[in-house]
Amino acid sequence: MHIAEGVLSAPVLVSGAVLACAGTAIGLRRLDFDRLMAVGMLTSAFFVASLIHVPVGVSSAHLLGTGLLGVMLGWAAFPAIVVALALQALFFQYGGLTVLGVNACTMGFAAVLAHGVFRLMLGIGHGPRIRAVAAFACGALGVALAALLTALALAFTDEGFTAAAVALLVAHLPVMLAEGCITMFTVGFMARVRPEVLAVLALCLVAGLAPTAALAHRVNIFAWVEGDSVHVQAGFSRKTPARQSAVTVFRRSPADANDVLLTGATDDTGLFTFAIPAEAREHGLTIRVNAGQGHQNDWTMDAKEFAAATNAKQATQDTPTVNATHEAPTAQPNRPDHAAQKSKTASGNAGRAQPDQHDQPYMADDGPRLRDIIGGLGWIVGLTGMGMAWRARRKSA
Amino acid sequence: MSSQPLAPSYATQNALHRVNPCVRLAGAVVLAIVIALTQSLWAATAALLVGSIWLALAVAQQAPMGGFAGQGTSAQGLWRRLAVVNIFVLLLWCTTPWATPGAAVLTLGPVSFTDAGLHLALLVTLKVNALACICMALLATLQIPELTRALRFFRCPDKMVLLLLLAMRNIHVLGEEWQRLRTAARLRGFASRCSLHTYRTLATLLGLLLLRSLDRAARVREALLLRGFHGQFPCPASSAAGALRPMDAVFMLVVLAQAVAIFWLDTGLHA
Repeated sequence: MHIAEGVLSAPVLVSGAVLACAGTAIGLRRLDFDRLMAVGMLTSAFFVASLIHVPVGVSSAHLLGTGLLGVMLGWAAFPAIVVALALQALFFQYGGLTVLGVNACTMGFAAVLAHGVFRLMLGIGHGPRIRAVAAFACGALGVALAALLTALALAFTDEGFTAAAVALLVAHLPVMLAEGCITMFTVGFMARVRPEVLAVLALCLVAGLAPTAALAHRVNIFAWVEGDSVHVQAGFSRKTPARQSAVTVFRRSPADANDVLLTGATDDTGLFTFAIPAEAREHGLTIRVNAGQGHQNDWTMDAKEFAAATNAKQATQDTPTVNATHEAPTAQPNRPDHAAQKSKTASGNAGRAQPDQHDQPYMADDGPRLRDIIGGLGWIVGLTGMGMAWRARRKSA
Repeated sequence: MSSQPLAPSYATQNALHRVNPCVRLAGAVVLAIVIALTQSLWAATAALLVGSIWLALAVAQQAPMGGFAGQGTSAQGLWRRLAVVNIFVLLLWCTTPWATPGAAVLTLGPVSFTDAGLHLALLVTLKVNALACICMALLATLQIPELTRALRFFRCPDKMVLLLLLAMRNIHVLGEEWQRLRTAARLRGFASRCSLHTYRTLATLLGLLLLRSLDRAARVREALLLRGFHGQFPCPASSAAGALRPMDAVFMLVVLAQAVAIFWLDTGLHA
């Protein structure tokens, strides 16, 4: 899916470069140093995957991997794709300097869109079948969109390239199917073998892939340990707390009606506090908040988090003047990866009386933000506009 | 998957390779932008000439270079690379000459080739090859540490540079891992066909590759944390930009002169 350097016209190159810069900036902002290593490794995996020949009909094609990368990384796929393309330009002269932006856009936005579609479809429901359909759609969509954007870039450069663009699109139809199949099987394999991988990488997929109770609407939960007690905060969106909602605490996940440890209700600010039960230190616990009308969600806490809390408590008892926030960074490096995402957010706020409104992690990652929505609308309008301009041009020609 | 076949080892460097990496990157960007924007055949021809001169300079004195793993001699390797780049050009030659509206020059049955179409196809061919030459001569000969130094100098975000280094480091590792998985599958009797079974097998192998790469990432991360890594590799003492030498100024002047010449040819003859 590389356009060679020297083919496209200046306006296409410039808009590609600008869009690629924007996408990379968003991707880098969403990418912290903890995930950088994994993304770097997946970038090389993506590079290697792009050298894999897959038989399609009588000939063979290269894997593109955009859909898969998008599913695993979300926006972080963008910088990964830029790096992989830069390396391909450096090693094989596929693509090049000036066209890097356009190539990154065609594949990067395809990956991000595939991620969005995957999330959307898993929002509808879950289970292996829906996951398979979603993964197939993502793989196929990744190729289709990349081919479409490449074709558009060609068609907008010169009228003479329109035929080549159409040929490119048609040639990618069978590749779409192959890539969809491969993505479906790969995602299925990973979900079977190591389900947490998909969850950890694409933060927001936690709710979708974990085989817990169905959740109808999303109520956001955030729980943290402070001293002897566990604080739970529940809310619907950035501003609205879940007032007077039923809170049930279970022993370990999956939540089982026989394992209820205690119940209660949140106060008017959506807060609920309870002392750490003895069993939680052994098994961990699951907190379920039911805000009525099908708004329900679970939050799981590992036994380790309580162990860390105990240590922190002891430390504060030894030196009573030390502010509890100082303990926060100590707990991090040697956690197992599957717990890292949640435990990081939990321990990051371990010592604060209440997490600040602006850096609550659950708020940061719930669903599309205003910026995403505006960006998406912009894309739809832009693509429609480009399509209409193209049609108008063909009529006048 | 030869990683950097064109990058010379320090022993085989010639004068061009010793030009400061920041200057070389800047020169490549300037030339690439000017060439990418040319519209006239004369300017594109000049660009191809410029590109081939740079390429000749880049491979001079290192002809018997052993770097082309499995690609024969250096000259063969270069031609093969250019051939790969020209596959895309071939696709354009198949469609552009008759799809572009213009005055018909040659009619073969139902297909008539237009002057505008032939002009466009020729222009693109010249530009693509010129840019590929420039890229091979000035960029592909950069060692990765040099490249990262240059990128840092031009204020590329740290995360991006680190991502590049990590990806670079592991491409080989994962490539070998993939080969091993493929060999094992082949020994078990797997043959690649266009069937669902093939797709499932390849997908499983790919999934394994991804999982192993993630495990590796976790191990590498822990190892780096243990060594006190804080998000940046320390720069060697010959720090960010490195000292500029007279040779760098000469290089930049030559590049700028070429760029201006191409630009002048383009605008002068286009008008």
